Amino acid sequence: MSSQKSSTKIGLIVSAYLLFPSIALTQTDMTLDATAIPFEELLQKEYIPASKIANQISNSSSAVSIVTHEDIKRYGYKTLGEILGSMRGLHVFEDYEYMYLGGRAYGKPGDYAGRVILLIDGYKANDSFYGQAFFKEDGLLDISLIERVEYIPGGNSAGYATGALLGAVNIITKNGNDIGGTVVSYGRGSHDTKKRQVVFGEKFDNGFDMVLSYSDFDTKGRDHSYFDSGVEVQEKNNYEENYRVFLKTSYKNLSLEGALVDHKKNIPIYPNYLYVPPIPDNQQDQNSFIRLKYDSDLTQNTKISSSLWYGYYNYHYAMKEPDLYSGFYETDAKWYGGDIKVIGNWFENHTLSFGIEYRHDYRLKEYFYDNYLESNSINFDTVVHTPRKTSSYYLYDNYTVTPTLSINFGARYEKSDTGYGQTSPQASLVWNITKQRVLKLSTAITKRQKTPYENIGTKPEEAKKTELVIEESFRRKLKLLGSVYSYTLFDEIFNSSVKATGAELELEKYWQNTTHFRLSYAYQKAIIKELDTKFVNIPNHNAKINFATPLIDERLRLGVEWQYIGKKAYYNQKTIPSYSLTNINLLSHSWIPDTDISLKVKNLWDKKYGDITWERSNGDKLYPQDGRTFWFEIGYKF
Amino acid sequence: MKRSFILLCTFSLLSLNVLKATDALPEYTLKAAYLYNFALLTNWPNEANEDEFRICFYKQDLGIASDQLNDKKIHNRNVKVYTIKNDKEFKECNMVYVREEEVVGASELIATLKELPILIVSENLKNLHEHITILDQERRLAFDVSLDAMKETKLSVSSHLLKLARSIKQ
Repeated sequence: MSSQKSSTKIGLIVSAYLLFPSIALTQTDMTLDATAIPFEELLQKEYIPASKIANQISNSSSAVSIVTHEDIKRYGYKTLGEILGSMRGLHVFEDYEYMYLGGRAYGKPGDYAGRVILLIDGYKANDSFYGQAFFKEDGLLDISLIERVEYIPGGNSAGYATGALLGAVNIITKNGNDIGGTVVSYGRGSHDTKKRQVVFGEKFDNGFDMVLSYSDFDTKGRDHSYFDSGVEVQEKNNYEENYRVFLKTSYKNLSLEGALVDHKKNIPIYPNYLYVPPIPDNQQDQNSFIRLKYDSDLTQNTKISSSLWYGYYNYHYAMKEPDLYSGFYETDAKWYGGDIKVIGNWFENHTLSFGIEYRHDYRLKEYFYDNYLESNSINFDTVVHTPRKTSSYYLYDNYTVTPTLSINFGARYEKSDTGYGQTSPQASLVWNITKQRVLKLSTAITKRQKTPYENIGTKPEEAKKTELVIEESFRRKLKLLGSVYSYTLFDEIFNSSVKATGAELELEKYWQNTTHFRLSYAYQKAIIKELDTKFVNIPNHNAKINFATPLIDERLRLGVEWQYIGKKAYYNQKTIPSYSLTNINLLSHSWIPDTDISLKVKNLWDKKYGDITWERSNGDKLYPQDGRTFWFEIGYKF
Repeated sequence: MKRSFILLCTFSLLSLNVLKATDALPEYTLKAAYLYNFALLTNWPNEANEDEFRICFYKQDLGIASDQLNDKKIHNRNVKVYTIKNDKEFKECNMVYVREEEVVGASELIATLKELPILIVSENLKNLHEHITILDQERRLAFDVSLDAMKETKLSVSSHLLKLARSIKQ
C-alpha cells in the first residue's frame, strides 16, 4: 500500500517535471526585446526585479556572512571549516573524527548535525542518517570549486530547505565559465600532506557549460602523544586520505550536478583513554549525490525551479587487534527526492513564492559485527530503520509596502509518514531608512525533525528566534553591521531548553586596489534554562580580524587573519581558557604567467590549544589541536 | 500530498492564463536595453578596424536578455556577447558590464582597464573607475555618468546620453 502511494507521488513529480519544461520552452521565446523602445521611454519604465530563485540567499533578513572565491584565495582557505571559522560569531572545533560548527545557541561537542543545514547549489547535502554536514577533507567539495559561501544564521528556514533550525550554510559552486580552461594544482604541507587536483571548466559556444574535477589528498597526520595520561605515543599512524569527483553541467535552463567523496581516516587515541590499541581504528565516509535541475522564466512574471536528486552515504568504522578481535560498525543510507518552487509577481507589490519538496529516505541501515578471534565467536546484527517519507510545503509573500519598506512572511509545513507534522512560521521586515541605512527585524519559529540516528520519537526540536540587524554603508566602501538577537532552543523529548542572547558587530572596508579589511566581534550568552548552567563549548567572546593587501602590485599578496575564541564553559561548571590564532597566506598570482603559488602558515605562533571532548569520554581533557603548520601549493592553468 | 500537488500544478498552469500584460519590464530585459543604448550613444576610437562589437559580462550575464543583444548592430558592427572571467580577455572587449553581486570582486579588473577604450558599466555600488553606473530608483532604473573616469580612455559620449543621466561627474 505504502509503496504504491510512494510511486504515485514520484510519478506525479516526474510528470510535472516533464510537463513544466515543455511549457517553459515555448514561453522563453516570449522574452521581450526592449532595444527598440526609445531610451527616454525606457527610463520611465518600471521594472520587475529578477528573482534570484536559484541559489543566492544573501538578501535574507538575517545578518548574513559571505566569503567569496577571492577571499578564499586571499586568505588561503583549504577547507569549508576554515571558511566558516573566519566568519563573524562562528567557531569550528574538532575531535579526531570530524570537524563541527558552533554558533548562536549551538556547538555541543559531537553534535553531528549542528542544527545547521549545508546547501550545495540549493541541494541539501547533509546525510540522511546523522544529518551531518562535513567541513574538512570528508566534505563533498574541493575549495577551489567554490564561488561563494554564505552563512545565514537563524531559522528562517522556509526559503532554504527543511531542517535549517539554527542556520544554513549555502555554497554556490563555480561554473565552467568561471574556470575557463584546465587547472592542475599540487600542494604539499606539514605532516607529509599531499594534494593533487585537476579541474576542467569551460563554457562552449553553443552555451553548454561544464565543470569536471578530480582530486586526491593524503596525510600521515601529526603525532599524538599524551604523556600526561600515561606513556601513550601514537606516531605516524594517523593516516588520512580522500578522493573526490565533481561534475556540473548546464545547457540552457537544465543543469546536472553530482559530487562524490571517499574519505578514510585512522582514529588516533583519545587523549583521556588509557589504552592504546596497537592498530588504530579507522573509519571511512562515502558521500555522494546527483541532481538534475530545471530553472525557467515561465512568463515574465513567473519563475520556476524544479529538481530531482539521489543521494548516498556510507559510514564504516573498523577496529582490529591482532589475534584477538576484529569488528566493525556500518551505517548505510540512501535517499531520493524532488522539489518544485515557483516565484510569481502576479500582484502589484507582492512577490509570492511557494513550493513543495518530497524526500524519501528509503534506506537507513546499521550493521554491527564482532569477531573474537580466540574463541571464534562471531556476532553480526543488522538494524533496519523504518524508511521515512517527508513532504514539505511552503508559501511566502514578500510585500513591498512602500518603496523603502517591505515585509516578508510565510510558513513551511513538514510532515513525514512516521507521524511527524509541524509548521515553521516566520516573518521579517526590511526598512531602508535611507539609501545607506537598512534595518531588518525578523522572527521565526522553526521545527526540526529528529534524524534516524537520534531515533527518539516524532516530537520536534524547536527554535524561536528574534533578531534586529542594522546595516550602514558609508562612503569609500565602508560597511558596518550590527545585530542583536535572542534564541530559545527547546527539545520536547528531553524537556530542556537553551536560551541564547547575543550581539554582533562587523566592520568591513575595501580599498581601491583590492585591499580588504574586516573586523568582527560577537558576544553570546547561552544558558541551559532548567539547570541554570552555561551551555558547554560556547565562547562568550569571539573576535576576528582579516586583512589582505597587495605587497608587490598584484604579483604578491599578503593575507593575515587573527581569530580570538574567548573562554568557554566546560562540563561540571568548569571553564576552559581563551586562545587566539594567527594565520598568514602569501599568494603570487600570475607572477609566472598562468601560475598561482601560495604559501600558508596556520597557527603562526604555534599556540597550544585544545577543543572540548565529547561527554562520552572520561575525564576533562581537551583534544589538543595542530600547532604551526605549513602549506605550499602551485596551480597552473592551461 | 497528492491533492495538494495537483492543486499546485493546476494553479501554476492557470496562472499563465490570468497574467496581464503590464507596463513594467523584466529587470534584465530593461538592463540589456540600457546597455544597447549606452553603446549607441558612445563613440569609440578606431572603430573602423573591427567587425565585431564585443559586450562582455563579468562572470554573470543577464541570461536570455543578454543573449538577445547578439547580432544587433552597433556602429555598423555585429554585437557579440561574451561572459568572461579572465582579465586578459577583457582587453578585447568594447564594453564591460559588472553586475552588482560582482562589483567588489571586479574592482581589480576595473582598475586594470581604466586607460583602455572600454566602456565600463556597473550596478549600484560605486567604484572610482567605472564610466556608467545603473542605479535602482524606486523601481525604475537611472544611471550616472563619470566623465572624469572616461578622460583617459579616448571614449566620448553624446550629449543626449548626458541629458538623460541622473548625475554627471566631471
